[in-house]
Amino acid sequence: MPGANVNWPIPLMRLPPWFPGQMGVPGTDTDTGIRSSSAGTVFYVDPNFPGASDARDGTNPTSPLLTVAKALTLVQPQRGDVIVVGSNDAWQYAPGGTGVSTDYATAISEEVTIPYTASGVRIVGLSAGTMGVMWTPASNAGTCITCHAIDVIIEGFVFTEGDYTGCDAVYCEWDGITLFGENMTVRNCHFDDTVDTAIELEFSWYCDIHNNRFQQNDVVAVMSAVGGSGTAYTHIHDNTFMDCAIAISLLGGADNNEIYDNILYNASAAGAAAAANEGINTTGGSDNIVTNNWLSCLLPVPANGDLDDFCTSAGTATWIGNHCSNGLQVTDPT
Amino acid sequence: MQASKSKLVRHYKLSGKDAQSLIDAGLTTPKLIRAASDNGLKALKGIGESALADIRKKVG
Repeated sequence: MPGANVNWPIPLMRLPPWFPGQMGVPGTDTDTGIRSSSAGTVFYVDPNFPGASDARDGTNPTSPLLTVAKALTLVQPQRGDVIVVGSNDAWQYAPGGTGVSTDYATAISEEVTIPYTASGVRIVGLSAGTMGVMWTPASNAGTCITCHAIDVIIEGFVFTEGDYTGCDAVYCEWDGITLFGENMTVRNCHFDDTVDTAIELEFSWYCDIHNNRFQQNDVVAVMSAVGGSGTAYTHIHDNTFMDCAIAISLLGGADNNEIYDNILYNASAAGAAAAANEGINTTGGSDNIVTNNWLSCLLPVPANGDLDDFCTSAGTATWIGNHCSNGLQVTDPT
Repeated sequence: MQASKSKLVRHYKLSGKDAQSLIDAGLTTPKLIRAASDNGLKALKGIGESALADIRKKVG
């Protein structure tokens, strides 16, 4: 999906002399454009652009950087900087490009770490397509983005394995010493059926995961590991989870999270086959709210694929008004 | 890291003194604390049996 609030091609102006805005879109006629603040700098990454080079300063869209990794070294913390990643002709079924534009066939193929010195950065894939700018790892089972910074926004990408085998998309971690992955927003992204783990949170709080599509992810779409430190105060909403091996698994003592307005389809649950905890699982956590999600399972029967099979609630969680195939959920799943 | 403002105090309700001992030892997350042995935790300054029990109860 394209990045939100992105106005093409106005943001590509390096030093816009005026700010005409976009008709009918309040707030676009400001001096910040795509930047998060007036002081922010926009860095352009486009490996397909003729002569793209990491030797440049990256602030001119007609002299872009070659890699996101280089752009991350140029970002200043909390300045409102934005890394704009240009679109390409690659897509999930044609990692080398569709052939329509052989000059723009190269996908982003990188495994980057956002250091704490890059806090506040927004990384935007700028594409006219519905899926976003294609991003693959640079090795088998590699992780595309590791977030160790606070206040990061990631949007507008389609994550896929590309020429490699296996792919983890986003890993966010906080330890308070050198790792400060927290308050991360992931939105308007697509995680395709070659992705193993789409988003993992390790003691990362206050994250906001919305408007994403998780398509048949092989391991899990959104998770905190059972042996990990969980997540808290995270919002997971308005996403579509299509037949993922596991949709949402917040373990490791995850608490105070809100999971709402998501659509979860699972073929096994829909077909009354075993789907143990393949939906939403908050076992071992506490005080999570799960409300108004749409689930492709029956109310508790009990039987394979029903709500109790598909989902498990933590003891103190509250499930309110989630929609099963045959009616509203009343009791928390067990 | 200031223990009184840390996740271990504000979220897990550990005492500031115990949290500071853990933080000084680099044990800043539940995952790291759970991975530490009881003897390892008791070897930290200010962590006795009661503090250990409190940590295990609140954090794991």
